[in-house]
Amino acid sequence: MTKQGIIYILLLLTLLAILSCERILTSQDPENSPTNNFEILWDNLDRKYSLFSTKGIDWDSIYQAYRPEIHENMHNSSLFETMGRMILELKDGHTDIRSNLGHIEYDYTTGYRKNFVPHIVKVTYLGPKEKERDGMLYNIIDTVGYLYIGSFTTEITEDGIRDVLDYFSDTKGIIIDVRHNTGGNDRYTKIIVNHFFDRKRLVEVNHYKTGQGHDDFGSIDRYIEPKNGLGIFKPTVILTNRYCYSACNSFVSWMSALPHVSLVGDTTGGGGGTPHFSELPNGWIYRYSANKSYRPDGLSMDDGIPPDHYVTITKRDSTRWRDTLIEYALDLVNE
Amino acid sequence: MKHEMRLFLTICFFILSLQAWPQQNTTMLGFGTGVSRNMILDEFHSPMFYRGTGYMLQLGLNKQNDRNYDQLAIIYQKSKISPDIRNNSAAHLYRGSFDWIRTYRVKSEAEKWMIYLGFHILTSYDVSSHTEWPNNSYSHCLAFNLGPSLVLDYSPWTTDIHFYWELSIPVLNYIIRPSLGAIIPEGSIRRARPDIWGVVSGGELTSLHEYQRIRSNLYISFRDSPRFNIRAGYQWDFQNYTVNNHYQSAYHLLYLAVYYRLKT
Repeated sequence: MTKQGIIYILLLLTLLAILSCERILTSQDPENSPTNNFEILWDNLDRKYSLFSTKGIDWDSIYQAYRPEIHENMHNSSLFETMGRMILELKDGHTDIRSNLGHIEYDYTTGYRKNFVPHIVKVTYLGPKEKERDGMLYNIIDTVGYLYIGSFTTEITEDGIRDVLDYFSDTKGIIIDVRHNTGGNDRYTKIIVNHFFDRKRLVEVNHYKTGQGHDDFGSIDRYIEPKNGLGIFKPTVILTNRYCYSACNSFVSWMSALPHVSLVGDTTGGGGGTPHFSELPNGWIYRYSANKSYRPDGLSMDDGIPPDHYVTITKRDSTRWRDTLIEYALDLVNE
Repeated sequence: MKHEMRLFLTICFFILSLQAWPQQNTTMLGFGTGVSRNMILDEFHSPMFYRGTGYMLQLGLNKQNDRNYDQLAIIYQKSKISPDIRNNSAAHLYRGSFDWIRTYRVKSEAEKWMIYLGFHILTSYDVSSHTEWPNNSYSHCLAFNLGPSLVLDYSPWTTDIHFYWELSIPVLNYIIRPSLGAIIPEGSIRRARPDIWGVVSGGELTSLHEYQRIRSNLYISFRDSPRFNIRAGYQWDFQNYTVNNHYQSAYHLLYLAVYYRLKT
């Protein structure tokens, strides 16, 4: 064979190797078996879940408790139920699992009063003059502005919040009611908060994972600095209950950093860690708290934000179609 | 400080390399388009491979003479990718790359063959946006690569038809990836710098033990007229990054490009 022929053959072999070596180089999808699905779930949470130490959870002992229940021939519903129970051990509203079999999530409101009767607010305080903008409901009660924000999932625009706050321009103070607001997008909370801040302030310290160990964290301070805000420095009262969670929890925490803001109601639900989604080879989707946050005073935001004034709805007020928290807030503003 | 110094030296090398661009006697500017087949395993989001087909656009500048072969290419790809499991998971994948290969001809007695050896600087940015998950829905891999390149130019029948094969294997890399539980890079968190510079400098300088990449570009160039060349090619790229969230990506490109001869 000539020298040129050898070169041709070598080149051809090299090209064939390059064209087909993807199969050699790439790994394969993980096996879809009950054992493997369980192991992937446990291992991913072991490396990435952020609240083991904060909550005092021994994740290895949880593995020891649940792993014996897993076997290759188990039914999907049993596997889902076992994984769900394991996840519930974390007692975290941001950690759940869902599939075509259902949705298993921790109820962080267990043992707390609702402290909110929507139809009383609707009839007595919003009334026929109720206005709506970007999902926010508002009205003026005597000389105090009342704003109900039921969710931070609906987009709240800069124009929207400006319209609302402009409407309250001649009021003595503002009540912002976030009861039963289970969170949403931090971006919308910032749009609102911006108008109440007087200067740059430290609002929380975010802890992110920097390694696979349960205590491997680095921290980044988070500030809010007002930009072209309306400068609302009049007395402001935030009404809270246990159902206020995640982005709502952050909203309450950030607003509580301001001297002209008071919190009335109950401790919020928490949810300080940003939830992160992932999935298993069988298609089930789960999420977990991937980081954690602390208030500037060092308190974990996952424990919820305690109110300045602990107030619950009384039976007497309920029967008179009165909301005790709103009445208390009106008195605070009018003091 | 050691980290910044490494980054600084890498950037200096990049700038100095650019200034070494030669004055050559053939310059071609081309535009191409084609289809891409993408595959990504990004454990920031999922342990499953996401696969999908999309399109690509390419802008290229090519210089070649008896001594050098230089190729500058900007490639954009977009695909919708999904895993092979029964749920609604899917993601939009955007890839952008800015690649430069500079090679020098190796002396050879074969008339039909030209062999070039040199180096490359590959810059690629892959972003995937999950369509179903509202939090941390973005993931990315920004890679700056340096390493050797091999170019073979073979014209078996006539000088109007050339077969080319470019092979690049990076050995020194700067990689920016999300940290374990957030899209912010780990280096940025360690130094409490969430700003843009913190993110850019928060990556990791790696070599073959943590990051592997191979890029192969095979194409045929046909001289259609004194001014125009037509290229049909196949490009294959593979990346594997093993730090924290394992990342593996591969794509196949089939493309057709028209090159215009700027000067001779």
